[in-house]
Amino acid sequence: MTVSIADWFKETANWVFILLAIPTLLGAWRTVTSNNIVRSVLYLVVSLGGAAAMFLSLGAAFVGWTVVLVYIGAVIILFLIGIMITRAPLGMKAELSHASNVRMPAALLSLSMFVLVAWGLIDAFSNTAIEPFEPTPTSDIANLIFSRFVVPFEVVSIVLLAALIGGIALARRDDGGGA
Amino acid sequence: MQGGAWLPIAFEVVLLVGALAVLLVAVVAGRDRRFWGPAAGLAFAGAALAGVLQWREVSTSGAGLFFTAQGVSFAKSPMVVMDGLSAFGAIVLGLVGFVGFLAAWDLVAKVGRRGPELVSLLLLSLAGLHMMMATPNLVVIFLGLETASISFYVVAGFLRRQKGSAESSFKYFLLGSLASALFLYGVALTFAATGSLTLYGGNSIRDFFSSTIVTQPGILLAGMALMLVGIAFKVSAAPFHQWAPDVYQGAPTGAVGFMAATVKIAGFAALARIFGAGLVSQVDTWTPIVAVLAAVSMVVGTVLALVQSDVKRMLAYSGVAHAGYILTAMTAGVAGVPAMWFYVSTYAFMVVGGFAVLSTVSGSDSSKVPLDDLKGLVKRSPEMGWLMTFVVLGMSGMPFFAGFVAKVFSFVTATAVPAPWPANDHGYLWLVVLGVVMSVVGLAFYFRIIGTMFSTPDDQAELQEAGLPVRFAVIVSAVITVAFGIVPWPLIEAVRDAFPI
Repeated sequence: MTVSIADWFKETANWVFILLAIPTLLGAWRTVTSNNIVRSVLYLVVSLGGAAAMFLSLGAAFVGWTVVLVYIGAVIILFLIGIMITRAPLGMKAELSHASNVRMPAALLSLSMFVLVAWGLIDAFSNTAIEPFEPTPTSDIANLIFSRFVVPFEVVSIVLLAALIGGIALARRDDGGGA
Repeated sequence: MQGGAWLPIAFEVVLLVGALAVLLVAVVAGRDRRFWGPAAGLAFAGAALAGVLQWREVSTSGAGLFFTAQGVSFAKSPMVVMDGLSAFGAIVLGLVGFVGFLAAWDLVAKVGRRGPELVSLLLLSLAGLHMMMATPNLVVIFLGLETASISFYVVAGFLRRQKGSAESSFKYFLLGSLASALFLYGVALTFAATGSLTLYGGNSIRDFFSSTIVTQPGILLAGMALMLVGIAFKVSAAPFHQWAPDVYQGAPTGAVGFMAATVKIAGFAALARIFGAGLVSQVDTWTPIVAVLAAVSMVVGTVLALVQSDVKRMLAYSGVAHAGYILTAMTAGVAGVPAMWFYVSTYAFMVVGGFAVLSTVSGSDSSKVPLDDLKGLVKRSPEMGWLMTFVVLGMSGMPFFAGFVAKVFSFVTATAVPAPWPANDHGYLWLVVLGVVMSVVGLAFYFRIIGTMFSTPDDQAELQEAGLPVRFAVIVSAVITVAFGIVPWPLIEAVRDAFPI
């Protein structure tokens, strides 16, 4: 079935979508245009938060909270630590600017990515309304992880343990002895 | 089932408990290696014992698929498999791990307070490597691979203050991550093509091929190719071998044997599991590719080994050539698994023994081992000199050494099964001819090593006596090299049962 634009605005869910989409887009825009790298990262938080909220509003609670935990929680912290331990320009006066020979290819790349994704979505769904489906409750995923996928889950914990031990072994300061 | 539900994962559990015990003992009792060393040794030995128990269980009550949880039918998504392949692999990995650990004992002393971390990483890596061959699930194979790879990246760079060690670690990390990513991409494409991540069991890849005729195999072929590249990288088969010489050379000599040997065992076992057993219906597609990999590996490994002046690099390129000989066996499909096992299990001990000798000659924390370091070794230390001679003769494939039997077994296997391409009944005869030629060419650099060891030492200092565990490791390796060269039949009998289900 097709949907007219007037009908589209009658739907409450669509207003929620717009309320979420605008900050997401603004956040993404400011992430790229901001001259301060820390601000850039913080704008990225806004953008990612909008994406997470969008997943939540679609009923994909698990994906939504994963975005919050992994991206906002871990990846952003990683960015901030990365900025901290490298010699990136920090502070209010730090200016980040790119030469135009970098800007143009970047803009072109983003634009072509946008065209590709938009074309893919329109090509696949065009104007069809997608029937709402029963969202998968997070508890189902939890049950699967600890029953069917308990072996991979435990192996992942071994991977993390090895990475942890390795990280400590490589980074720790020796008090005498050792190489 | 005897041993309860724990037996199929006993190998991994023992090693994991061992790794945690080593770390805990180091915290509670002290970081002296005398305190936690026995715990690590027990864990390696216990893992080998778990392999023996698994082997007995498989030969009495047959192989099985395990681990689907309560309430979920286990056969639907098996995560653990216990069969001839995984049980034999457990025994070999456990023993090679134990000997490799003993060979690293002097290195453990050199790294001082960080010894427990080094050894716990070795324990964890071994658990991951066995996971690669003891699961029918492609994702778990990948996770096992990652466990081992991450541990080995760190072990390679463990001597932080040596430039070579850091370089080795970083190179291994970058290229290894790429290979892991390629393997994972292959898994994803195979999943896309077949709709399953399980090699066998319910709703598996094998079921898919028995009920479906693939008319457009593009995605499947890409998936298989990428998985093959990932494994070829890990076992350092050419043309995916470039990392091996640099990593071997830079990594601490005391641990290189462990890394090089165990990763080859698990890599080839995973190859047998994924391609030999899981993709058995596609055998005509992948054996020609494996044959090409084998040919390139034998030529590149042998020729480049000839021009090296560093023994570690020489052994690294020789490892590339050996990967070629083992792949030669695998061109027979699943029928090549016994020959693969014979080769890889004896070769693993030679690698551990060879690098253990190098670590006593140039120091267990050395990066470079120029050929001159071996000069007059037989006079300076008759014990090490002669044992190294045996090991090198074993690698070269001299008669009456295990390497010879392994090569013959591999070549015979490759010609036993009709080949799909070029189609004929004699199998990959051209590959075998090439293999024989390369074995002869390879004698040149093996005898260069031996010749250097027998030459007159030029007033070099008396060789420092190696620690007892390291000497024990070398003796065990040399004895195995000689014993299975003269009396190979027990091992040949055993590997005939070491099949994947």
